[in-house]
Amino acid sequence: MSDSPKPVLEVENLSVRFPSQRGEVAVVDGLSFQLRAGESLVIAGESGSGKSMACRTLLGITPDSSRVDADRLDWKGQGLLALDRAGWNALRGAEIAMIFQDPAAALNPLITVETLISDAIRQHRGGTRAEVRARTIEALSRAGFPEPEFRMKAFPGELSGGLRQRVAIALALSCEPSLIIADEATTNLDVSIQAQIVELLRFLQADLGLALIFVTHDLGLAREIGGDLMVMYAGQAVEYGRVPEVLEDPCHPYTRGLLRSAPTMASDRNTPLQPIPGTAPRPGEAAGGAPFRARCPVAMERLCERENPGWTRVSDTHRVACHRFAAEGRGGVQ
Amino acid sequence: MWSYAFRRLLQSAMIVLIIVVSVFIVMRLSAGDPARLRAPVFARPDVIEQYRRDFGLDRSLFEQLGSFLGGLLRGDFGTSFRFQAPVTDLIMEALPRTLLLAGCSLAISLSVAVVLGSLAAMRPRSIWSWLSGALAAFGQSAPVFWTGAVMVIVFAVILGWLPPGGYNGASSLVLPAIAISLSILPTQLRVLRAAMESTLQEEYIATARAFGINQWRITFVYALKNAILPLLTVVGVDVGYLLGGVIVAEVVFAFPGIGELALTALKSRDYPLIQGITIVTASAFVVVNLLIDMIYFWVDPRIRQEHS
Amino acid sequence: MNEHDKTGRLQDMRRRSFMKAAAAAGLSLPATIGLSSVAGLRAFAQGTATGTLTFGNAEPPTSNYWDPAAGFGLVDEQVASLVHDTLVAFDEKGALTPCLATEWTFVNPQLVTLTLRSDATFHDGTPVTAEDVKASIDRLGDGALPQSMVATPGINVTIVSPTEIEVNSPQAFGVVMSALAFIKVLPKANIANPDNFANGALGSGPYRFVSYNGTDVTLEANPDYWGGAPNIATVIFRYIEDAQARINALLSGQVDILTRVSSEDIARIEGNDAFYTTTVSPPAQIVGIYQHNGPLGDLKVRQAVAHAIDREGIAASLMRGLNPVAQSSIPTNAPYYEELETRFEYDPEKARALLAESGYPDGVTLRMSTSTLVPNQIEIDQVIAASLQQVGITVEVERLEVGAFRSSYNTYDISLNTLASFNNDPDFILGFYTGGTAEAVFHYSDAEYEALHAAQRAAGPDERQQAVTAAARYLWENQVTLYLSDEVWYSIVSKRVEGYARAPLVGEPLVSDARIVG
Repeated sequence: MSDSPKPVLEVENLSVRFPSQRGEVAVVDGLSFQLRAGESLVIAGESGSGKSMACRTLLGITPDSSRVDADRLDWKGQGLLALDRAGWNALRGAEIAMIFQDPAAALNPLITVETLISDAIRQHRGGTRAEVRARTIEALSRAGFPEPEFRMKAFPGELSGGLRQRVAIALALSCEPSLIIADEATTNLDVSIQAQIVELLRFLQADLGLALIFVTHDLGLAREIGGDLMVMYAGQAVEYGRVPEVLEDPCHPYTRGLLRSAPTMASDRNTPLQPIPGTAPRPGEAAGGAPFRARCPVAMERLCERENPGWTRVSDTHRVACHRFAAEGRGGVQ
Repeated sequence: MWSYAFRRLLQSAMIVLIIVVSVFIVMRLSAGDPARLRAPVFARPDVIEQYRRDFGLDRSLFEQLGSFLGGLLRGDFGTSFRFQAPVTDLIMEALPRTLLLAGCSLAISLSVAVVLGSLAAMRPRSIWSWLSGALAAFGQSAPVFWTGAVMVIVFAVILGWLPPGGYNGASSLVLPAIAISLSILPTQLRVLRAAMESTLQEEYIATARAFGINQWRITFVYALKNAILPLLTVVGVDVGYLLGGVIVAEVVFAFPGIGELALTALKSRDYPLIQGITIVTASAFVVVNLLIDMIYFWVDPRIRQEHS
Repeated sequence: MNEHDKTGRLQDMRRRSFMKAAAAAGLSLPATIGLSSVAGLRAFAQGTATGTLTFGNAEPPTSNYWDPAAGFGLVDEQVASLVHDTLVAFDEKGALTPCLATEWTFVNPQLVTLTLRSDATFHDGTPVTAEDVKASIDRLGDGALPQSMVATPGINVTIVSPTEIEVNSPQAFGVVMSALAFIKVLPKANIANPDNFANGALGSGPYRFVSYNGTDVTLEANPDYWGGAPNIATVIFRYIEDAQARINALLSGQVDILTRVSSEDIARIEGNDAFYTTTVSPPAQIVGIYQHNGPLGDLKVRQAVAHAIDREGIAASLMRGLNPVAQSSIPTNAPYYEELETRFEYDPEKARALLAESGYPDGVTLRMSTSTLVPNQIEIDQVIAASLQQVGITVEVERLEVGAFRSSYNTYDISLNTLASFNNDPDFILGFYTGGTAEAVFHYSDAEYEALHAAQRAAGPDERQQAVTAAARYLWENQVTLYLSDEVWYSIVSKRVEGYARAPLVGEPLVSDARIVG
């Protein structure tokens, strides 16, 4: 990888904090990752783990009350945190586009598909009425939206879930961004359509040379997407590596728990599903130690309470943040 | 949609009919004798009797109702006791003025509610937010007769910029329209602001932001389309107030509209005129609300789907 | 007298004002009063009429039906007084002056002869003829028109020649000249076809009817008026319901004259140089109407009430001293008013004594209705009720909406109201206590009074004063109703209006001499 071009996205020590009654709490805490053009990154974790919030920092659309800090948050060498409103607006959609989790909620029910997409195009690319229309149709057909010329006058409510997600993808594609963030983009779809959408995203990524951040709670999908995998828990990254490495050799107790609880792992088909006991901590609850300690079957009593584990190298491309692994290796987390 | 509209129209006609018949009966059961009120004070009894005969009040209630409804079928609202002129003419004289005043008032209050309410929702800690709160509180607490009287004294009597009342061209609409819009503004402003605040929290607004759509377009197109729907319902109620009411404003500003006509009619127990005004205002109210439902239908594809 | 123009008419009025004694009698000279010597003297050049004079009224016309004989509305009279001519007219002092009749002779209480001018035309161009005059007067003699009450049953006109007529009254009618000053001359064609009255007022007066739009009655100057075109081009009678809005309209210059203003209105313009107040008013009074079918049928009770109430105090405080208190049953500004000897002074002790002597020695309960018809009515009624309670009369006050009040006042023992004379003659007010009106309004029927009333009506000029006083005294001493005070109809006038004068009438017949300056 060292001979690859410079990453388009460089994130170092990213955190998002919200004020609360107990002082500021971090929803995203010390996240670091990089992404090169044409590559993909899967961010996995349960809901509430800070995946979506981390993605939103890349578009500057975190809620007004939040505070975003990072040692580095660079897009193509440009510091995002220094952007003003106009700077952000020039970037949003045009450079980085996002596909939201629930297309039913993410598409304005009172705006037609055509208006929605052509507005974005007009905002970033301009052009005559006819050009905008042509681009709109093109984006829709790329996204596999059938008969766009006729059906783009529809309101989102008049479309099926799968078609709505294709509209969301078309919207993301419309201004030819370099990075697409798919935030649980397939979660609300049934399995066959899920597969189609993943297939489409992979195809587009390859075809258009896009970088892709794929956010999911379903590690099974990570395998389909490929690239790097970052497992998040309570706002922190707990394991990071190439997708096959992590899936075949999960080193963090949480990653292992996730894999056992997921129904789609081929290797574990014969073993019964084992949900992770307990519930994810609320923001701020896990601060000051290993974030997973409360639910961890192999937590180390004193150490995990007191100290946040740093990264332990598994291989050149694979690292894990776990005291037990650091102390005892794979055997300790079995 | 058309069958729906037709059904609603039929329903509305029934409602208007029930209202009108109720008014017909209640008027005749309530105190006050139109013949006595029409005759000069201390008129001779035979003069009063003559009026009673002229007005048809010597006939039985049932007969009176029959001829009234018969007249209605022919589109004849009867002859005003008070004015000795066709009720239709009197209403057609006053109604356009009230419609104009109501329209202007509604236009002013809606514009202010939409612009200020949206800005306040968009920027919760700005001057707009403060202004919208202050205006809503003011409109809520200051009755029309007070704001009207103050405005007349300041702008008409002291400054002499605008006429204090009457109806004589556009300038005489300004003060009453502002006074009335102030009275209907608070609800509109609050409803729109609340709707806008919750709409701006919607995921689809985040989507629009995530695609770099200009924030003004987001607020005034993307969000407004959604946030304005609850406002439409409020407008439906306001229109009733504007048509039936506005009496206070019309009195304060000596504005010769349907409210003032209604007041005169009531004072003189002018049954045909009261009935005519009731029919017209009730119908207008019903029709406007029907129109608003149609607008919902047209604006909101979700409702369209429900009914198709 | 054929050349008797506007200026001449004005001169006549001035001349007449010096003849006060004659004026009071009105008709004592076999009158060749329309002196032709001043004919041809035009005091001011005939320019075109300019400017607009706007009146602010608290009430609209009573209908869109412009038959002056159909009612007694304020605005109806204002319009009629400018649109229509009468045979004779009143000046500012209440003296008679020529109008359509250039000369007249009061032959006896049943006969008046008049000479008509021949140069008058209605606004549609048709000449005013003796036939029109006859139709206008005869209809009051035989119809049940509201204004029939200013005439006598059977009054009629005999046409002697196109310019000579006789007015005959089967009953002696000494007040006939007042009636002729009030009765409007209408086109015979309209009388024959009353539907025409719905199209607007049509007369031969100095102003012609233009429109009524629900608020404004608009009149424009009649350039062909036989008395010369008036100075002011347009006269508007505007209805402004709200008192505050009315005074604001005046202060901001939208309205030039406010009619029948309240004491609050007068207070608002105090010290304001731009306005002044006129006090020339039709004879009018505020009365507490009694129903004689209850306890107030008892003379002692009525007299007790009269002594229990401090009329002077009410007039001074609640009416702010604007309305004089009469010592008679007719207003102080009515012709033939005389102060009577019997005083019903404020004396609660006397009231209690009278009550003890009455048919109700153990006290009496009166029902009173109140509303907002009379200025400050509720406050006045509170004072009356409290005063009566003091002398042992229980008063149950019921507050009614104006319409309900006007429809049902005669079912309560006491209710405040106003009485006004439309023809500037006490006959009008004295007539309320007779016949069907008395029965309906007061539950009162009194043969003795009927005779007194008929006598003053029949009396010729020389006997009139005595006859009126006799009738007024009867009402007063019997306290047939509670004579609270006069009701002076004040007008506030902008000084933009120059030469404005009022006659002691409800209407505004003298407007044609006013002009707008500045």
